[in-house]
Amino acid sequence: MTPERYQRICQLFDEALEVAPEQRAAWLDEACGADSELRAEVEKFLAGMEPAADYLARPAMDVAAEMLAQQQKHPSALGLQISHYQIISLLGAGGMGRVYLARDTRLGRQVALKLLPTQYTQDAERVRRFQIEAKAASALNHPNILTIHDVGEAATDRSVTQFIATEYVEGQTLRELLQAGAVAPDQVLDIALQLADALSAAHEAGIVHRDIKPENIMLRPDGYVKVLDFGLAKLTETRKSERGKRNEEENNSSEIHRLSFRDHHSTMPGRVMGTISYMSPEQALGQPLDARTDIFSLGVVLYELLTGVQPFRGNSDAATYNAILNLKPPALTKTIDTLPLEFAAIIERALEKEPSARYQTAAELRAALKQLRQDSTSQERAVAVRRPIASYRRWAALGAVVLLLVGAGYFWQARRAPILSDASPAPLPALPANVSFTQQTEQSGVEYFPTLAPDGKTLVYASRAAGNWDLWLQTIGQRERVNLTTETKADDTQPCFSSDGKQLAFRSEREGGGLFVMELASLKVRKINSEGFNPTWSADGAEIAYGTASITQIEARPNSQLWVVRVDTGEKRLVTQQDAAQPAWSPTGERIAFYGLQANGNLDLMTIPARGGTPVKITSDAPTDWNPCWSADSRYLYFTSDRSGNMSLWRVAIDEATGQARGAPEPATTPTTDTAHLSFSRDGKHLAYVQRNKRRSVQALGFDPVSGTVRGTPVALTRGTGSATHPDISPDGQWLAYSSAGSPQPDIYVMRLDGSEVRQLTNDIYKDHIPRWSPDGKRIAFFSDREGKNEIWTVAPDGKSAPQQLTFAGTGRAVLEDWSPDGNFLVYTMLRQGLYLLDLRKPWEQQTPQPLLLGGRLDTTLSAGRWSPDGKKIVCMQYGADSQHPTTVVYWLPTPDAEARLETIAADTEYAAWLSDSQRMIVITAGKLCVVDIRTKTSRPLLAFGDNEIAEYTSIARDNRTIYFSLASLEADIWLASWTTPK
Amino acid sequence: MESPLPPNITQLLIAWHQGNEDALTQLIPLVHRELHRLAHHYLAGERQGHLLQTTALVNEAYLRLVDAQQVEWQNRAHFFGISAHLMRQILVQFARDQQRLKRGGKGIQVSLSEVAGISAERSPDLVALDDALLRLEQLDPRQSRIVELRFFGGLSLEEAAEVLKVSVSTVRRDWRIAQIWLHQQLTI
Repeated sequence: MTPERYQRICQLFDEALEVAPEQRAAWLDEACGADSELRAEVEKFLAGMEPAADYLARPAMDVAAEMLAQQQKHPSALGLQISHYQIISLLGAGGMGRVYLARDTRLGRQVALKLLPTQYTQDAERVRRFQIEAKAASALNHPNILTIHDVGEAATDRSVTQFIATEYVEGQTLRELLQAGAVAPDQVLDIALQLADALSAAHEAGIVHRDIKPENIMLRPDGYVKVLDFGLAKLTETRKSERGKRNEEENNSSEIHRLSFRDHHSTMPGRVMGTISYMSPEQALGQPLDARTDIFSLGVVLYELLTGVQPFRGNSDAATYNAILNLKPPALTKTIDTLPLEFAAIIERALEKEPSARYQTAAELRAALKQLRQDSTSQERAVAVRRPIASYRRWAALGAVVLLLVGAGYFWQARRAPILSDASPAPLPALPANVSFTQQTEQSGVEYFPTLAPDGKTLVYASRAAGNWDLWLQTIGQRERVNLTTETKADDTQPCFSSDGKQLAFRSEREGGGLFVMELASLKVRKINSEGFNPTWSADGAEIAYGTASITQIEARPNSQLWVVRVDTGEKRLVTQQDAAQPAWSPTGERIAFYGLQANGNLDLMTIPARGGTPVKITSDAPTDWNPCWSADSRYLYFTSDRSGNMSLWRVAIDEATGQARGAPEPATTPTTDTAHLSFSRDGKHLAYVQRNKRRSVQALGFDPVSGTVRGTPVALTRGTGSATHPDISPDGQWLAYSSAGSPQPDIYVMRLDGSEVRQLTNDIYKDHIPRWSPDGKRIAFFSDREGKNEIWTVAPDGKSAPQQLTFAGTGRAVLEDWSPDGNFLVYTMLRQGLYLLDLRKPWEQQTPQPLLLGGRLDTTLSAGRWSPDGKKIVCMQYGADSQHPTTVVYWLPTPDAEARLETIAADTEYAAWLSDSQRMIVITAGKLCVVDIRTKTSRPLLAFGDNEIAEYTSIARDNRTIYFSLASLEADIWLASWTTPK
Repeated sequence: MESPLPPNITQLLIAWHQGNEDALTQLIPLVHRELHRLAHHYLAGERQGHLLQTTALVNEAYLRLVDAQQVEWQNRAHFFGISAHLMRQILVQFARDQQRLKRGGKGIQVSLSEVAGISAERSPDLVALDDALLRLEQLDPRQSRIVELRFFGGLSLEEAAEVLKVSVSTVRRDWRIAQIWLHQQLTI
């Protein structure tokens, strides 16, 4: 550029600033004329104004001083001996500290020794986390993952130093490789296979990298790829957030422009400014992350390797964000003619904005790459240009071995930064902007199961306002309502309007229970069927589909069968053998959608032809998907899902003919966090739904075991907006374990009873439930889906070690556990299979879970409660066809003289906890806390709860003097979303 | 025995400008001493878990180094110009030395360094900036000079205007454009 040209640009830039922004484009057209290059330069300046504002606001003196401060924080360690490592030379330095080449004096091998900067080591919590992370990564014994040999601390003359010793790798990073430009597709494929292999092993072990980028990947001269810094990224992100804060404080006034975009994302302080180019959209939005974020980042790396340029670029952070979130990168096949279409397709799929549209696992991506490699090698063979195939197969085999080891043993689990799990997701707008939301019911208590009349003007729902569950009718926009079912005290719920709006189908407990139909004109009710829940009408009104398990919320429930019954004859047929609950018949009548439990434990949406046939999966992933509801034109299936953290509204496009999804689920923004029970009007203009709000706390209540009466009133032990449930008092009576039911995922906590100390024992994306102290107080058992499905785990109450896995339940789900009083056994529930025992005296590899049989068979209706203090029996909940009314039963363990037997104690009773005499239990039944004597089977109420309160999960101190329970107060109101154009 | 009073920096600057080479060798340690003093504040602030308002400290450091009060009025602008240029030389050399210290042999690149290092986040790399300023000087010497005065010399807009004998608004305009240009040169 000539000085004249530069001056011209500066001048035009100045003048452009005088022009109103919305007129600049036109002004530039005129000012620059045909010189489009000049125009581009001026625009570059204009675009660069915000990111560059106050770029040099800190004087050089300040910059140099800070550089010096950094230098002083990482003093040279050359020549030092740290632990048994002799430092040889400096390899590199960075924010995570310095890395030295060192010699392991014990084993005589060379290692890379990372020394952590002192500012980390002064924070005990951070050091602890760092060690947990490093240990998690060290469990990853994989040829394509940098091996961590050792993590520890060593005293030097000045201070205590934290170090990590890793494998020493000679070679270059992919960033260095990229400096020579784009990489040949063959080599990229070779690298991609190894990376997919490494990620697949890590993901299987529950570790997400979250910072995949060329700087973090090394290529050895022999072609081996090594992924670095598994588990380390998080530590840095936390540091970055503090650093960001500090900058803001230092440059309070001058940072306003630069920070405006950051402030917008202030809910996600874990963001790293320097590396946004490799972030996934969900990472950029601060949404909860899973393994699929790594798949996206890997896609970015592969794209860059192939083309030499990053797929998502911008002149500013904001522009890069925009590219990541909204723009499709230039097609690879256009950039590189020689690139196989399949390869381009693989990378494009990895780069899908929506995680569910990407490869769902790294293993899936690896399989696709392998296929591609096989195809290309066979092609090469055909033209006799046989070249040595990279030894990825060998690595894959090694990877498989690692998976087996990891899957079978105890290992350290990665923790997830709390920052990201707390971040509120920012769903992309999917519904038109002209949608309004109005609250239809405002009573305290719950209103459930809204059904909209076809015209969208009338609403019927279930409420307990008159003492029992009734159906209420209300005109939209008005507050008066009419009880449609005053004639009976039996509960009536789950109404559904027929397509002509003249009838309601509903569930009622009257006349022995079943499905009923009400003529709205006369309010006449007749019984259709003697079983069934959640009814849904066929389009012609001749049939009703229903499930055999009642669905109000997501909870443990029996298997549900999907049936269709003829309204006129009561003739019925089974639609599918598999678990199918909460059916929704499409408005055209062709298909029925439902949600069901899959063999892998997922709750997924499916559709099936109404006449019967093969079910088609609509979703197939870990998030819970339920409440299917067809749009009026049957083109979309709306549903609720926790895939963004909260249980919110989603939709997926459906090809009704095949029942297949036509794309990935997309969020349908509603101002709700816990959404359920959807109903569309026939005209598609209104959607009614339930918005729930549940708060839980753990309560303590004094108890006199001699008189069997309560002392005083309950006292809340946990407060605030937190959501504590599942209390379990420690054997020494000093500590309370509980789990949070709060968003987005439940975790396990312990707190001192006096509230002086609270420890979070798990802090991750997994759902951790039902803590139970071991009798010696040294472990806490809980169940968690951290292995992809529920298994029993234990964790130490001091929080100093990561959870260990106890059960390996194969395809089953292991939940609801308790220890035997001597601590030698653990009873647990295989969901819908029955009870099993683990003998904890045996090492894990010799474990063979022992089924608890009754008459030689497993009783699949049992869920384990608590083991009695005398060790002889286990109180269980028995679920019949109706999941909402479990019976409390006692399982008497077999003795040398007697076989195991089951004794029914009390119907409609839950959450039993033993008093120390092993004869009496505290239970919760029908809104009351009661004490039950198993000898007489009599129950005496201790405390009654309000209509909107739900007491759950009891625990009793060993001295019998305090009862702990969780108390939830529930509000559920009905809302209406209305569109001005039909949806 | 009491140590002699530290040499007056302003006097040294004037002496250096008048051709006394010894003055520069005496000056460098003084600048370094100020850097260490500031660095110490950074570290102390981090240790104590709170963050210092460093702007005042930096200004103080500049003031200690180049106090125009001691210069006769007509030399003031001239003096500012010299001191900024000198600060640039000393600070860039300092940064260069630091970087040499940091970079050991060629080996594995420490990933995360770029993202976690302070300089990468928002502070410019002084060495790279110095190079870019030389290029800017070819395109627009005044803009380059303004960056030297403001960024290296710590001068206010008004002081820079005084040195260059142009209006404050001209300095503001050049400063803004130069920052954009440099930012683009150094970050994209």
